[in-house]
Amino acid sequence: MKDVHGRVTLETRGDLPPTAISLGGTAWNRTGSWKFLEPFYKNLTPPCAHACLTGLDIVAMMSAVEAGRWDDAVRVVMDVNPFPAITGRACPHPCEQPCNRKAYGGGVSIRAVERQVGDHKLAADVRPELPPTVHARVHVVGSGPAGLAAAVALRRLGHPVTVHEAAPEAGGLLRYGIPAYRLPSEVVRAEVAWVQRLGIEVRTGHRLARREIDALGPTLLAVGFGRSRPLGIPGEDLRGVHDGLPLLAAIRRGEPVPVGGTAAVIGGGNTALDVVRSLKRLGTDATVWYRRTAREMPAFRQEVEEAKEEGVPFEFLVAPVRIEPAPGGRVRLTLVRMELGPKDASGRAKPVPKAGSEFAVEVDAVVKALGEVLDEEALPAGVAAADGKVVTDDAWRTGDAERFAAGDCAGRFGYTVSEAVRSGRLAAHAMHAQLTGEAVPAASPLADQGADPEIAKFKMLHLAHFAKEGAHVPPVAAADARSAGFDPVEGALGTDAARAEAARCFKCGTCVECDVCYQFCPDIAIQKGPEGGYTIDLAHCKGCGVCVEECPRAAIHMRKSS
Amino acid sequence: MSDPTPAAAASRTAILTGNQAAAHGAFLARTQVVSAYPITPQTTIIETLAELMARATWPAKFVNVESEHSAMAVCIGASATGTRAFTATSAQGLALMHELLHWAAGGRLPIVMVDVNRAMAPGWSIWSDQTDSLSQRDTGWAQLYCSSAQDVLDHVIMAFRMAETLSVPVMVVEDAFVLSHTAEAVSLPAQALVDAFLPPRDAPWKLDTKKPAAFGGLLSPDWYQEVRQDLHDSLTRLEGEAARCYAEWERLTGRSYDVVESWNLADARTVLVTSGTVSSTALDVIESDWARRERVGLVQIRMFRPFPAARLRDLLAGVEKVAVIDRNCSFGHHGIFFQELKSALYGLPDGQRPKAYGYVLGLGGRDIGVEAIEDVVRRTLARATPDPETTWLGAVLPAAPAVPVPPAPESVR
Repeated sequence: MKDVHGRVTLETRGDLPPTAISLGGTAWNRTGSWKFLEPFYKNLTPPCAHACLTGLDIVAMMSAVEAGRWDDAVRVVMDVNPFPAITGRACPHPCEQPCNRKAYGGGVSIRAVERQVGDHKLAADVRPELPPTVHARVHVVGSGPAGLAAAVALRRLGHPVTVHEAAPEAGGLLRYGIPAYRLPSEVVRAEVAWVQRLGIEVRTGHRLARREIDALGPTLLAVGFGRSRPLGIPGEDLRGVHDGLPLLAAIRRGEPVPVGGTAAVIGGGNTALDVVRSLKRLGTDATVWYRRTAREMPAFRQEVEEAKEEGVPFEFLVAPVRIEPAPGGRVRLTLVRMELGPKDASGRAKPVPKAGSEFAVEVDAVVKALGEVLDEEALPAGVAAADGKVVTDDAWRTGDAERFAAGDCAGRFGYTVSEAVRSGRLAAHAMHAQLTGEAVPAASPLADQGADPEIAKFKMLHLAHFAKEGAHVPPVAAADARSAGFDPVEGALGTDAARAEAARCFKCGTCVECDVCYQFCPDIAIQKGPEGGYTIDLAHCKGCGVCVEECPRAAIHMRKSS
Repeated sequence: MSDPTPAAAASRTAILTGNQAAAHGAFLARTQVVSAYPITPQTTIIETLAELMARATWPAKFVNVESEHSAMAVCIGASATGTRAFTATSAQGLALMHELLHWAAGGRLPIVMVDVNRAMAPGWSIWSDQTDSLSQRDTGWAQLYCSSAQDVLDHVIMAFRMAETLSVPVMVVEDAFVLSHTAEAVSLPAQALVDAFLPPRDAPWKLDTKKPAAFGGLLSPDWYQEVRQDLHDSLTRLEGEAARCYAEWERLTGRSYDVVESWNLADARTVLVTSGTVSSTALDVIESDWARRERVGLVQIRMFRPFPAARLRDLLAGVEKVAVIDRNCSFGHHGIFFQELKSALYGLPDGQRPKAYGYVLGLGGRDIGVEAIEDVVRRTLARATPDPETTWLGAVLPAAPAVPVPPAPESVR
C-alpha cells in the first residue's frame, strides 16, 4: 500500500480493509476546482441597528447579555451612548419597530434589555478607560443628554471638562422635562454622579450670562430649546394660561402647581402628553385638544397608548381661537372645529377651520404644549441662529471658531434623548479634531466592522435554528394604579429575562460564531481561526452552498467564484 | 464427558427458562451495551438482562429504543466503537431489523443476537416457527439453532468468541415457548471461567475520535466484491472456529457440543434430520425399539450458517434415505433445511447419495410430538422414492374434496 500525502494506492488484495473503512484522507483531492460559486462571510446591517438613534451595535449588546457578560455589554453601549439607563427608559425605541423577530414569536424587547444593561452600569459602576487629561479645558453649556454625552466623549478624548447648568440639578430635560413615571430622578442623579466620577466638573445653579460665556475657552453649547412655542391667539398671556415645559419643570421640582380641577392641554406632541399625564397624576381632569387627528400626532405612539389606558380624553380636529377670563378665576377657551385639507410642507394634511363651528369650554387652566423653540436671546456673541437653530458648519462649529453646538439647539437630528446623545458625541469628536488637529473618528460600530449597509431581512433567516418563543416583556403597572402617582410605568425585565430575551434575538446578518457553517460543511472546508471567526478553504470548498443555506442569520453569502 | 476444571466446580445450578439462560449468558459475557425492543416471546430476555445489567461492575449501558431497527442501530454504533453489544428479538422485530443486519455483517461487527423463533404475521401468531430467522439467511450472520436452555446459555457466551475472532455477527436461535419459556436445570458457569474463555474484546479496528476514519462509505466496483468475499471467507471459517470453541468449552465445563450432532448413525439406513427442540423429541423416537430395528439414525443441525455441508456429506454418505423435518417453508419451493441439505448431498457421488424426503410441519407453533415424528419416519420407510412436492403433515382438519387440476397447455409440457 502506497500512501502519498494521504492518497492511498492499494497494491494487493491484502491491502483491502475487511469493510468500508477509509485508509487515507481526501485532502489531496482539491475539489475546490469543481465550483463556480463560492461562499464568503459578510455581516449585513440588522434592521434594529439601522433604526437605532444612537448608532448602537444592538446585536453585540445582545450577544454580551446572552452570555451574561454584563460589563462587556455596558462597554458596547457606552462607546456610542454613555447613558443606557436613561435611553433604556426614555428612548422611543424605533429599533423595535423593524425587528425580524416580530414575525416569529414577537419582537425583541430591545429597550428593556438596554435598560438592564444601563442599570448594571450604574450598580457595578462600570466606567470607560480614561486617558490622562493632556489637552486644554473645554466647557459644555447645558447638562441635558447632548451636553452630558459630549462631556463624556471629550473626557474620553483627553480633555478636562466643565459642564455648566443653570438649574439646581444637572440633567436638563432629563431632570426637569421628562416626567418621573418615565424617568425617575434617582436614575438621572445616578448618571450625573457617574459623569462626575469620570473627573468631569459639573457646576449647577447658575445661569451663565453672555459675558461669562464669552470669557470661557473652547465651549460646546448644548442649551436645548428654552422657549415655549406661542399659540398666537388673543389671551394666551392671561393668568391661568401656562407653558408646558415650565409646568413640567415645576412638577419635577415638586412645587405646588396652580392648575386646579380642570385643564385644557393644547398640542399633540410629547410635551402635551407629558403634561396631560402628569396633571392626571396630580388630580386634574385634563383633556388634550389637538388640531389634527390621532394619526398625525407627533408624540411617541407608546405614550399615546398609555395615556389612553389611563383614561386621558383626546379631542381631535379642534384648534384654539381665543382665551378669555371667566368668573371664579377660571378661563374660557374658545375653539373651532377643523377638517383636514391638502398636505402641507410637513407632509401632513393641513387642518382648516370649519366655518361656524366655534364653541367654548371653561377650565381652571390652559396649558400651551405646542413644543419648544430656540431661545435666541440666550446665545452668546458670535453665535448666529437661523430657521430656529444655531448655525453650525460640518464640524459642528458656530460662527465663533471656539464655540460649538450640539443637541436640539443645533437641530441636526430629531428631537429625542437618543439623538441628543448621538449629537453630543459626534460634536465632541469634531470639536476635539478642531482644537487639537488630531482626528479621532467617532465610533460607528457596524461600519467600523465592515458590515454591509444592506439590511438583513426576515426571509434571509433560517428559522429551523430558532424556537418560536414569545417575547419577555417588562412588567407594566396597571393604568389605575400608575395614574395615581409618579411611580415608573414600566418595571425592569430582570437579569434572567433580559438574558433570555437577548438569546431570542436572531442577531440578524451577524456572525456570532455559532458553528453551524462549521458543522454543516460537508467538505470540512470551513475552519476555525485561531483568534475566532472562520476561514474557508477554497481549495476544497465545492461551492455547494450548504453553509449559506444553513446559516441561521444570513452572515454567509454566495458570489461567483474567483 | 471430561473432568470439569476447578472453575467449573465453582459453577452453580439454577432453574432457568431458555430466555433467562440467554440473559445470563449475555451477562456472563460482560456485555457492555444492550439495546432491544420488547416483543413476545423474546421480552423476558431483555427484562432479565435489564435487571442483571443494573448490577454490572463494568461500564455497561442498557439503551431503550423505539423499535428493533433502532435497537440494531444502537448495537452497530456500540460495536463499531469496540464494545461488546447484544440484543434479542423475534419474528416481525427481526424482519424490521433486516436492513441493519446487512449493515452489521457488512461492517464486520461481532454483535450477538438471540432470536426466539416465532411465526411471521399475518395471521398474527406468537408461537414457534423458524421462518423468521431463516428469512435472514443471506445477511451474512452466523446462525446457531439451540435445543435446550443450557445450550442457549453456553452458545451466547461462545457466540461472542466466535464473532469476535472472525469479526462477524452471530445469531443464537431458540424455539418460542417450548424453549424460551420452559424452565429446566441449567449449570451457570462461574464468572472466572467465562472470563478465562472470553477475554475483553480487542477490536482490530474501531470508531475512535482520536484516530478518525470514515466507516461504511462508498466502495467502488473495483473493490466491493473482494470485501464481500472476505465476509464469505470469514463466515465459512466460523465452522472451524466453532470446533475450537467447543473443544475449549468442553475442557472448561465438561459439556460438549458440535455443529452437527448425531445419534445411531453407525448402521443407519434411514436418518432423520432435525433442528431446534424437535431434536430432543426425535431422539426419543429413534431410541424406540421399532426405530432401532428399522436402523433409523438422527442428525441435529445446530449450525445453519455457515452451512456445514462437508460434515453432513461425511455423516450421511451411503445412507439410503434422509428425512428432513422443517418447521419453516421457503414458499414456492421447500422446507429450508431440506433444500440446504439436498444441495449439500448433491456433492456426493452416485451410489453414496441418499434419497431425500422433505416434510413441513409444526408451523405457527403446532406441536411436533412423538407421534408426528413417528409419522415422518414411517412415511419415509414406506416410500421407495420421495414425493416430488413438499409433504405437508399434521393437518387438524381433513382435506377438502379434490378439485381437478386443468391440464397445462401443450407449450408448457
